[in-house]
Amino acid sequence: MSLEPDNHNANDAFSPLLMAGLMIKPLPRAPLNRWLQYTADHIQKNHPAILARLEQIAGTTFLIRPTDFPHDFRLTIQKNHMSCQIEDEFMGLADVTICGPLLSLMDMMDGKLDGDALFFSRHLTIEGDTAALLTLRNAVDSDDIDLRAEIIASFGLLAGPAKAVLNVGERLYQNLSRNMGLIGQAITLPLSKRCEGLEYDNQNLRNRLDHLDKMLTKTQNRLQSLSRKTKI
Amino acid sequence: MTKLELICPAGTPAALRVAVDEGADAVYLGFRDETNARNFPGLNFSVDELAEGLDYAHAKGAKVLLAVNTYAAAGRGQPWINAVDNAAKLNVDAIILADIGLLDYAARTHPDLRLHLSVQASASNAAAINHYVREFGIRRVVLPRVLTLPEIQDINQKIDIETEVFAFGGMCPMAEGRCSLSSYITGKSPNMNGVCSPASHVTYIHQGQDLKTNLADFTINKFGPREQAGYPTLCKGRFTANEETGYLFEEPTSLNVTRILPELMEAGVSALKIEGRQRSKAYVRQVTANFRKAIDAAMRGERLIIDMDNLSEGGQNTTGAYNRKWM
Repeated sequence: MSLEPDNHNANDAFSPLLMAGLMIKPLPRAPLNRWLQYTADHIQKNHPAILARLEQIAGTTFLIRPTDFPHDFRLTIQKNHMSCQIEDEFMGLADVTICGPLLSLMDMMDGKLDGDALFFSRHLTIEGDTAALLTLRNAVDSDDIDLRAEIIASFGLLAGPAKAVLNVGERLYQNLSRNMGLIGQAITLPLSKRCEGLEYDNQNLRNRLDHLDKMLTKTQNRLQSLSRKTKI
Repeated sequence: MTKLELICPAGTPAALRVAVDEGADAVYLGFRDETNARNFPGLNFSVDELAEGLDYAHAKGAKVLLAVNTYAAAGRGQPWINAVDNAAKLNVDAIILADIGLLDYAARTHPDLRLHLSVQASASNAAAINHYVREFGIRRVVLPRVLTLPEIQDINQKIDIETEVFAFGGMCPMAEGRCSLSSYITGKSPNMNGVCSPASHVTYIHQGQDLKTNLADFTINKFGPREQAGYPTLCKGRFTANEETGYLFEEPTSLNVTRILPELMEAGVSALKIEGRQRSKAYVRQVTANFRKAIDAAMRGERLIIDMDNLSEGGQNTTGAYNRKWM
C-alpha cells in the first residue's frame, strides 16, 4: 500500500466524485442527513473509546470541505455524542475547517493515509483551532475504523446490496478516474504549457532582477567607500 | 557486530498494534498526562490501555517501553511517581526516565524495573552515562541527536550498556533536554510540559495560495504555493536578518538513517528509535515496515536505502549530525 496522496488525484477537483456529488445535490437534505447521522451513530457505538478521547473538545464544530464534492459536512462534538450533517449556510462559523479531496479524507479516517504527510504536501489545508483538530485526528486514529464497512452496515437490512453497489461504484470510480484524468489533461494541457512558459519567463526576469539588485548594492557600496576616501 | 533492535512509536493503542504487526521489536509509549514528552491532546494511553497493549505486544514477542521522560514539577510530583509505580505494577519491559530524582526513586523502590535513560537527560559523553550506570543501574541510554558516528563509537567503547539512537522522524537540531526555544514564546517546553510548539499556540493562515504558519502569534514561516510545508517550530523557522531571508538553524526536514545502518552497527549501536508518537498509524505502518526491511538487509550485509520523503516534514530527509560536515 502506498501513502502517496496522489493516489486519488489528490489535487484534482475534476473527478467522478464531483460528478456523483452533482447528481445527488438536488436530492432533499433531510434523508441524506438522517443517513449521515445513522452512520455516525454506528461508528460511535462500535468505537466508544474514541468518544472518551473527544470529551475535552465537547462543543467544538468542524467544517469538512471536500475539494471534489459539492456538499460540505459539519461535524459537531458533544459530550458522549457526535453529530454529522450536510453544511447549511445558516449554521454559522465552525471552529475548525478541514479541506481536501474526499477520498483522501476518508482514507485518513480509515488510517490508510497520514494526515501530516497530506498537510506537508499541501493536499490538506486546515484553519482554526489546531489543538481541537489534533484531538479529533488522534481520537479517530486511536481505534481501527473501517469506514467502508461502517457505511455498508449503516444500510441495515440492505447492507448486502449496498456492499455490491459500493464495490461496483469503486470499480467504476477507478475507470472513470482514469478516463476523466485523460479528458482533464486534454482540456488543461494547452493552458498548462502556456503557464509553464510564463513561469519560465518569470523566473528569468526574477534572476535578472536579483542580479541587478546585487550590482546596485555593490555600486552603492563602492560609491560610499569612494565618498569616504574623498572626505579623508 | 550488534543486532539492531527496532523501537517504534505508539501514540495510540491502534498504532501499537500496527507497529507490532509490522515487525517492531519494541514499542514505546506514554501515559495520557504531562509525564511524557508527547503530551498532545487525544494522544497516549490510560493504565488499562497500557495493560491491553502489553498483552498484545507480548503475545507477539514484542516489548513495551514506557516513557516517563519529562521533569517532575516542583511540589506536585505525584503523577510522575504514579507513572513509575504503574510501570512496575504492569511489568513493562523498561521505563524511560530523564529526571534524576525519578531515576533514584525507581532504582530504590523497584529494583527489578529495567531503566533506560531518556534522550531528555542529554547524556552526551561516557563520563555522564557511566555516572547514571553507577548511581541508578541504567541498562540503556538514548543518545542525543547532536552526536557524530565517531563520537557514538567512542562512547560505546567507554561504556558497558546499550545505546539507542534516533533513526527516523522529526529532526531536533538542538540538544534535547536543554532546548527552551518553545517555552521562550509559548511558555511550554518538551522538558517540563511534554510539548514542543504546542498545538494550542499554532495557527495556520491561508493567504491566497501561500500558507503562513504562526506560533503564539509570531509568524514562523510562510510557504509558497508549491513549497512543502512544515510545523511552526522556532528551530525550523524562516527569518529575515541583514535583509536576507532564510533558515537560521535548520530547514523543515526529517531524519532518516537507512543509508548509514551498517555504519551505526559498526559503531556499536544496539537499538534504533523511530520518532513520531504524535503521528498517525499510517505513518507508523509505513516506517516500521520499511525499517524492518532495511535492518534485516543490513544484518545480511546489504544496504537498503529507503527515502520515505512523502512522510517527511518539508518533503526531505537528512542523516543529521551522524554525518556532520559543518564542524
